[in-house]
Amino acid sequence: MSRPLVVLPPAAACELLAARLPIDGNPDDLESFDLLAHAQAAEEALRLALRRPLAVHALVLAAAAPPADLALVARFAELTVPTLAVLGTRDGEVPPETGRRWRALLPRCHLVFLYDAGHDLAADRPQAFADIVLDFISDPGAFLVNRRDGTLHP
Amino acid sequence: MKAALFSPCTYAGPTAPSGWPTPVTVYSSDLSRQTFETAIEHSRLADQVGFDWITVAEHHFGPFCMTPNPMVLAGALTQVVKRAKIALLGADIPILNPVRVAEEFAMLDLLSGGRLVAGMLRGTPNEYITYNVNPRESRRRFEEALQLIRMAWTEPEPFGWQGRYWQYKTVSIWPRPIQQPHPPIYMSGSSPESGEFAAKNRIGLGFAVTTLALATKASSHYRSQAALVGWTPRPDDIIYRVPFHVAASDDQAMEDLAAAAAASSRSFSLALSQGAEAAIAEAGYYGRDDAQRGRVAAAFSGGIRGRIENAQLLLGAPQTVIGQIRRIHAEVGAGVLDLVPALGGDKAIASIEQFGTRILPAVRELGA
Repeated sequence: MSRPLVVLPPAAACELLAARLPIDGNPDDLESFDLLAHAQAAEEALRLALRRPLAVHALVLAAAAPPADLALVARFAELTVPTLAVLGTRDGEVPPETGRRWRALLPRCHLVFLYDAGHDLAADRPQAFADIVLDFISDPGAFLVNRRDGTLHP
Repeated sequence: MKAALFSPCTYAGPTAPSGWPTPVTVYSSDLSRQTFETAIEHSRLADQVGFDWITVAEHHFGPFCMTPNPMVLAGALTQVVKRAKIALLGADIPILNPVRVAEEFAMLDLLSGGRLVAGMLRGTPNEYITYNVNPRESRRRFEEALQLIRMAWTEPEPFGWQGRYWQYKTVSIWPRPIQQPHPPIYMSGSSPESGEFAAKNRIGLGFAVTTLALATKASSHYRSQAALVGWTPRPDDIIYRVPFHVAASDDQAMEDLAAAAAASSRSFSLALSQGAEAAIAEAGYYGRDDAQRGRVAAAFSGGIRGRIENAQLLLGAPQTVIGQIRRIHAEVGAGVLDLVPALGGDKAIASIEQFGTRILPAVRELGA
């Protein structure tokens, strides 16, 4: 997977993801990239996806709620980017029920609950969070299909 | 006080002498059929004479309780039991597929017209051997499975689950339970950990294979933990399971029990080899008050009078049993008795009838 991952805000980039693919904080120079936005940065990420629909390959919204700007929200119907909304089951700030709002607003939105994670998903369940993000962005169209080998003793 | 009947589908014939798992070298299909017919007949009768719940339970690989998937029997009971609730006590959720459990519970709630009681248990220690699950993971699996089942019942959008023990990419169960937001949930356990978890998650708690003293202590811990998070369990939130036998007089009841013990030396054992038992204890299965197990075992070896004294058996004429129930209610605060017939055959039938007609009306008002 050579496509870079843009993380917003850049400080939120986690080590486990950085170990697996190039992380970039400056999408302006990139032709194609995946986009991961934490919490309030979701608004900036969605504006970017609307501005450059062909450049954003897949979008992950982590512990984020839809923005308050209704004019912006109205434009989400235009989005064609495959999106994954990840919410922690113990998140008191952005509770899991927020997923329903993303599902209603975004045309191509998968919802995943990260069990036993609070608001800081990557800190609470680092491996589980990195795994689901990588699984999604590697092939968003095939996301629902288990592509791991389940053989115990080949 | 409410009454549940638990007719545990114990195999009606002789078996090879063995601990668990029990070999099937001595086995009869006819006797197994009889076992199920009897359990269904007991359930029908209990429903007719006023029992509030009919209980089914999950156990594997042995003759003691031939309902490895209690959902199947519960499905049949929904069509026979017209009035009482159908209580699953329960599904051993740590060793199962929680999404499947959520689906089956939802079907049962629908088939019973909203009469499902959804008990979710950790199960007896041997069940971890059944499906090859590490008993060390028991509590954490239980907690995750419970949250996942609740989510599957209540979340209207398809969702994925990135758990510690289970992963699903998308879940959207059909049908949904009739009871909203979901059927009442119970767990079991006398350990401090179980009481704390039940209190924190606002779910009911059941006590089985215990003593009056231990259940009283565990119940008091559950209540105080519930108070810490701002709620008060109702009597209905506490279940106490106990074998029972009712006869015309106390002496008759005692004689019945002694005669049955003399006629049959069958004792179904869930005993594991010493090595396996040690490995399960070492895995922390029993929680931080591990010594409790020894106290329960000691109480069960105390003879019939000792078992009555410890509220491990309800035995006697109706008036005597009423007194025994009042004591359980006063000390444990239990509002649901889960009653297991101590004897089989006609004695079980008569006991169920006596309980429904002579005892239940007298204890109905306790805690109501």
